Amino acid sequence: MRMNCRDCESQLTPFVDGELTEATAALLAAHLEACADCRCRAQQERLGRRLMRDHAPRLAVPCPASLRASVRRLVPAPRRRFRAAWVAASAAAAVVAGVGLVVMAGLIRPVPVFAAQATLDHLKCMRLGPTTATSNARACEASWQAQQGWKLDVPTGQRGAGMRLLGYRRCLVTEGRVAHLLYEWHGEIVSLFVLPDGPKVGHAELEIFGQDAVLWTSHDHTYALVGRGDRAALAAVASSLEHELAAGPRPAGSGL
Amino acid sequence: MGTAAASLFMALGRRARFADGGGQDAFEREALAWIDGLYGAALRLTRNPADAEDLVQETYVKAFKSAGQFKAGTNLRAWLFTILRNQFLNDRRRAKANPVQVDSEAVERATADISSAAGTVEEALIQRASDDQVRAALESVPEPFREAVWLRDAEGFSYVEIAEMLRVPAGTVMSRISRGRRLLAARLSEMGPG
Repeated sequence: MRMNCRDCESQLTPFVDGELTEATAALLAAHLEACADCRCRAQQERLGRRLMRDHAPRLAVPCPASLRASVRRLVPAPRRRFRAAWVAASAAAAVVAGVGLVVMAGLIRPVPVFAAQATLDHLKCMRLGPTTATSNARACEASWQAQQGWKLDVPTGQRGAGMRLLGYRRCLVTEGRVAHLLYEWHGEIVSLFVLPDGPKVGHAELEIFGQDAVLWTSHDHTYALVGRGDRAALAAVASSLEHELAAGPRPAGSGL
Repeated sequence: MGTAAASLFMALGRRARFADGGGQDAFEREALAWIDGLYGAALRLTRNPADAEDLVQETYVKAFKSAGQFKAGTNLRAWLFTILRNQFLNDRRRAKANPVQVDSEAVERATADISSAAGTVEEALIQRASDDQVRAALESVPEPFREAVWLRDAEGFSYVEIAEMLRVPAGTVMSRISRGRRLLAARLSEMGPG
């Protein structure tokens, strides 16, 4: 097979750039051997390419510092983006607040909605911290009982999970029907939500709003553990908490 | 309703994660890293520093606004160059007036002048050409060829990327590069020692 001038011309640039397959390059080279016109074209193109590549780095005009500064100011401010995220979160929260009661009545698929509600609360409250700060689980339980009128079992998280209790928050949206416990776990804040007589979720793990959530039901209470990081590690934490809760009240004197 | 609610949450979740995580910061950091090349492209298109600065700013405004349309994993630099070029064409309403149809025969005539250049002449030309001469020679190359050569040899874009930017077939891109390079060589040999 031989190449004509027209084919040669159409392939000249990838030939000069070394981007042809070996077989096509060999065909083209054979044509150049035989055709003086195409050989000259190839020579000129190589020359132009070489001159461009030799000189281009010094021909580039750097961007003026003033322009660089102006363009930096065009970057959307992080705070504005953060607010935008909160607009999204608040919109979702409003929807969740609306559907939350329906969920409790067990009318719609409970897992994603409860997980979404819990995760939004987690994202909001982990920055605000507990409304009642205490690392003492029993003090936490007593305080919750006094304020909200129902018995909350607070796991210490220290039996195998390596957590430190920070305190609890009473969620405005759920008016105290959901307890929000905050823990520190390997430098991260994780939240445990406890909903008495909540929807039966069995056991579920899902990612939502960039967080991992593990949900389970135990003794008529629905739990959601929310945090960020390794889902498997979080599931192990959830399992440890579940065991601690299933084991019942702590022996007297183990205040933490 | 449950499914609808869940998909709403998922959609919002993606948005919250995008705004909350490092994704957009990384996008902006990388976008800003290409400002020198974009300014150079703007200068070559507008041939005027003040217009070039405006064009670069307009490009970034558009890029930050359309960040969501950028497909992660594709070439951000090529995307920015495309925005810049489209912006230029829109601004100047030059789409029709753009001298894409150039006189191919004139190009051939110009490049035929040095068709007898031997290897030693080439070497001599490479040795003696100064940056200023190359700049001047490049300036004299008609725009479509100059642009294709610059995008390929100075910016290192692939034929396909250039084709997408210029909205022409890859074959046309190669042909423009070829002619642009040959014209550049021809203009430089005309200049003589200098």
